[in-house]
Amino acid sequence: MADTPKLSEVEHVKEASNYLRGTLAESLVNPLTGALYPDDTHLIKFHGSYQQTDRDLDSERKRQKLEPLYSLMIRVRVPGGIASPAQWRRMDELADQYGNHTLKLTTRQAFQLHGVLKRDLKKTIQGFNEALLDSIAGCGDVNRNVMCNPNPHESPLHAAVYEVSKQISAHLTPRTSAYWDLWLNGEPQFSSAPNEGEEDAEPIYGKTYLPRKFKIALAIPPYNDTDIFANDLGLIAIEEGGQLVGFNVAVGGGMGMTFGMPDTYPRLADIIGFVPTEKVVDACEKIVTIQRDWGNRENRKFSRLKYTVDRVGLDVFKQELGQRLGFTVEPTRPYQFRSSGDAYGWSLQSDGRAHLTLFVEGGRVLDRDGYALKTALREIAAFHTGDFRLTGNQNLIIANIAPEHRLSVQAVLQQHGVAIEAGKEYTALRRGALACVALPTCTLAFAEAERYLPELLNRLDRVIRQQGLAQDDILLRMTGCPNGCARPYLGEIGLVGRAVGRYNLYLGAAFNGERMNKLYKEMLDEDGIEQELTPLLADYAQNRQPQERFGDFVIRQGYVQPTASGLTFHE
Amino acid sequence: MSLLSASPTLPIGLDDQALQQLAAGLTSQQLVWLSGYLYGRAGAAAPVAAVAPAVAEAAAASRLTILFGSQTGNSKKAAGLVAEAARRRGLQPQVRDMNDYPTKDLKTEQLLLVVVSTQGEGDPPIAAEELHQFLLSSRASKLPDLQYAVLALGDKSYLQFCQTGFEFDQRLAELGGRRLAERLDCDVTFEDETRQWAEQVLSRIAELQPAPVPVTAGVAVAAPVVAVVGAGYAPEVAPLPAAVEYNARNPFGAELLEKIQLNGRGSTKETYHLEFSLADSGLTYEPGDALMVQPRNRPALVQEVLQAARLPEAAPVRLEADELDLTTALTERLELSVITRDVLERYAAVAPQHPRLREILADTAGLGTYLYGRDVADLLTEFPVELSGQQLAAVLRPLPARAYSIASSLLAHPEEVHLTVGAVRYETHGRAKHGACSGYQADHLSLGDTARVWVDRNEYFKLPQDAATDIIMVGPGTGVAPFRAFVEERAETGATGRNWLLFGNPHFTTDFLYQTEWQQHLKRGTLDRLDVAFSRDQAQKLYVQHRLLEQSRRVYEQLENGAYFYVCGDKSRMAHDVQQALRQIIQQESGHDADYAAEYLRQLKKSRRFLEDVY
Repeated sequence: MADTPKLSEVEHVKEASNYLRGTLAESLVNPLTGALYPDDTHLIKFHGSYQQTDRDLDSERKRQKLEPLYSLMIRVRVPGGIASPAQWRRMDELADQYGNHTLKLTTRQAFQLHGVLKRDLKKTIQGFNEALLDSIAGCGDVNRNVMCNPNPHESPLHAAVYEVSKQISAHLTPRTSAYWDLWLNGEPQFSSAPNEGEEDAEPIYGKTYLPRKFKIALAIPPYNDTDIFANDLGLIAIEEGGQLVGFNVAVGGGMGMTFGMPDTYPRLADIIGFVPTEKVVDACEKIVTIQRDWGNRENRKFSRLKYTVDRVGLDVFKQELGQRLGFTVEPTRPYQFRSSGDAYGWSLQSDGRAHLTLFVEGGRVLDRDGYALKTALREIAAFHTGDFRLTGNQNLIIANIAPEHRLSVQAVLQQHGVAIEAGKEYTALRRGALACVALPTCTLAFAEAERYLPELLNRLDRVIRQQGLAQDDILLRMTGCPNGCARPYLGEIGLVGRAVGRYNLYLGAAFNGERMNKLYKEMLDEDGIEQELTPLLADYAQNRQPQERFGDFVIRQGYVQPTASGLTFHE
Repeated sequence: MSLLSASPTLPIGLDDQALQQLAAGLTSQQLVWLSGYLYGRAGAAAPVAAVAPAVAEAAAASRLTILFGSQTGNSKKAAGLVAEAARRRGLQPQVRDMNDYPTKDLKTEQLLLVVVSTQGEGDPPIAAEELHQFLLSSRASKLPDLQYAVLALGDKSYLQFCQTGFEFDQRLAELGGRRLAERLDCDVTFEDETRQWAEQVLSRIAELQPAPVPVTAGVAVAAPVVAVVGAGYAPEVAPLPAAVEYNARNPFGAELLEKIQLNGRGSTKETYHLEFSLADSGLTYEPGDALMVQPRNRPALVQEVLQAARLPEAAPVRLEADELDLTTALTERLELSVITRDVLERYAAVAPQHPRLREILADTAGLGTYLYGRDVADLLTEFPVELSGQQLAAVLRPLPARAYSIASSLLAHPEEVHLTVGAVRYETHGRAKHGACSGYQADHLSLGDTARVWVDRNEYFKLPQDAATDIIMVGPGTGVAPFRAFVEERAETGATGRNWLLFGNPHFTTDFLYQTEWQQHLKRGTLDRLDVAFSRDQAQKLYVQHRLLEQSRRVYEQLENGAYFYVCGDKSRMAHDVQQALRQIIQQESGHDADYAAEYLRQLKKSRRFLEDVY
């Protein structure tokens, strides 16, 4: 440790913020700008919101002597991704009332509302609070939305794992009353209420919270659709005789990196052992506190747990964890992941309930000509008695549909032009593809992603069909910057934006999320992407082995070297 | 014709031939200018006071008072023109402002020329209120010795055109005054008519009075030129050859340098920021002045009028001395986008087959409603008649220039003038309507084009003389224009008084005019406070007057501290509501009653610390 660490700017902002208050109250009522005061733009993240601008309009508005069109993105937590029909209806309403008339289902099973003006932020938060949803810790240097495989089958096991994810979420939710002071007129908020008589204090986080964001995901093998290795903390459910007994614990995953800084890299989490169910919440807390105490607070580019783990070594980390827990983690139990994708269409349970997994392109729930997904889901939410499950792949499961509602659900979707069997209409490449939001709202984006990917796929689909690969699952992930929101380094094909219209092409990740990809070509434009991928796909179509995944194939053929660990990602 | 040819013996040893030579080939305008030039030279060479007493004595025998009541400064300007003409005749008129004119002085007047404008729907200007009220009351005494004439200024687009002038004229007659001349009612362009009227009135005075200068009445026109040199008039009559005077007859062709739509996407408003070049014009202005912009009618409207009138594009028309084709006349010279009472009257006269027109005219109360939103094409379509191009031209009124409050400071933008123009667009009677001048600037004026402009000085709507005086500026919508000039000017001059702006418009995200400039001014401290009211961003509509009321204490404290209070923008509602709010604030904060507040506000107006530029 350095003698006098020079803390990053954000650390000072947190320190001075009085548990995340800062000058947010003043920022919100300043009528002369749609923006927050600069320091508050850091703090608002802890409340679940990012300040953004409509970057399409920035230069036009500057000329018009108008400030950028500031708005706020609000990320609403849905632990484990399960929302009730009432919650769905409310989010749908709020998107129309205060947002941009769309709902974004994120890669972390949260809802995002985009385009909310500062003056409407409070009303919006109150709106979903009434439906028992919150946005605290949606973003910021704290534990974010806890992900859990939404698998509606395997019900008893899933129920137990889902319960654990909710416990972890609640346990690691910040305790500050700033959230309800600012947004809920001081009324204690259901999921983040402090203990009786407790002053503002953060028993787990302390007043400067974590050095950086912290992500936790749970998965029930063989499904890894929560991509647990991309998280700071991944938990693999282990069952014995249908009963949940505990979790394999993986630490140190994270996708983000910075171009031009080879010291930054994406990394997959390492499994450090097994923890029984009753101790898993405590284990999560202790891992969080190690990162709180050991994480880099000087340079935010090196603040994630993955760098802490690589800095101190996995053994030291495990030792420290054992000391803090008062017991040593047990040896890793066997498990196997088969895939990280979603299975689309209907599935029926023996008790008569049914589930329908819908492909939601780019995770964007909207209405457009001939395709009124948003309206359809609103209509379904009006009678549906089951729930809605957001998957880690930005898709949606209408789960636990009562037998008498099956036909109605189907009819409503068809009436609004929503494909039920996504496989029939789309290539497997398209329905498995992920894209982050990127332009025009994300301040970090260098290039397009969500709104461009469908166009790019129109071209790639032609190649795919020509090669007879229309029903072969190949994971494609695109982001507008290297920070990794759509987990691009876990794509068998990864496209990461470098500049407007230019992407780096990465190849060779494992289909089940256990191996990252490798840089193949840099700065490709659309023609370049098609030109580079066409011969690879042709080769794959002709020369693959049975069951061989595209990500494995490109390694076997020597197009790229396998990435063994984060530290060797750039090699 | 030589103006000097008829001169008899010239005074002070002037050589007739030398003068003839000097004046040969000069136009009358050039001669007038030369008179000033020569005076200027004389003034520079030697004091001329020695020869003045004779004239002064002659003039003293018949004191001429020119009394003006002005709101925007036009009446003051007109009074100045009359005074200038009087001085040229050797008179020494007293030019007085009704604002400071003790009502008791009225009965001492013998020769009185009243110049007064009319505001809105027939109200006197604030400066004239007191005198007007006194005069119309029973307290006004008889004026048997008075000879007078009234010059009324107004705007024909208002129904109660020149009403105040009419009332002065009527009442002075009732009180026993004798008219020197018939009242002249002037429309927005008043200069030429004023000069003519002044000559007429002054000639009448000359007939009544001993001649002020030793020349015969028969050469009255020529005399002043000579008399100026000898008689020593007030110095302001002597314009040294300097900047060219730009006006309606001699506009400056200003190149458009920049045009920006200020409203963001999705706005219901359409406001343009225009920047014109004044390079090499010598044209100057001060914050608070207006820029006159001479529009051209939109080609589509001209076509519609031609079709409705069933007249060919090339029909010959004579306007004043010019022979034009009808298209040019309709595009360049004649008002098409609004119709006014006078137009309707003339049209009714050429359309006797439409008795309905006379009914509309007779219904004074309903006339405004009828005229609203109707243009010449509507009129021609609704009441078709067979007209020649010439007849049509005679029915229509001249296409006036429109005044825009200047939105820039010359100190901040040398050789430029900026405007904030709201495009007026609406649909009535089944047709899309466009403001003549806003549409011209929004749709037809492109970068590099030149617009015909000149400056219209606003006498009163000016920054305080004292740089330490606080100012409160209420400027919603395009009413913010002069305050951009004010704030820029005070920033450039380092004025220490506080600048407080109140702005309003429908929506924050799209209609916050000059938002980033205000943010910069606030950051630099050149704007001290900005309150905004975006009326449509919440369920209940909020306007600038509500923000004023919220800041009641601050408003009153600043007023007590000598602050100037400016209002610019919509006259019909906003300006009224702001005054109402101000009275409420004064009443509330002073702890006195409504009468006190009304009087307080009246005094603010009288002392010209409450200033309006409303339209």
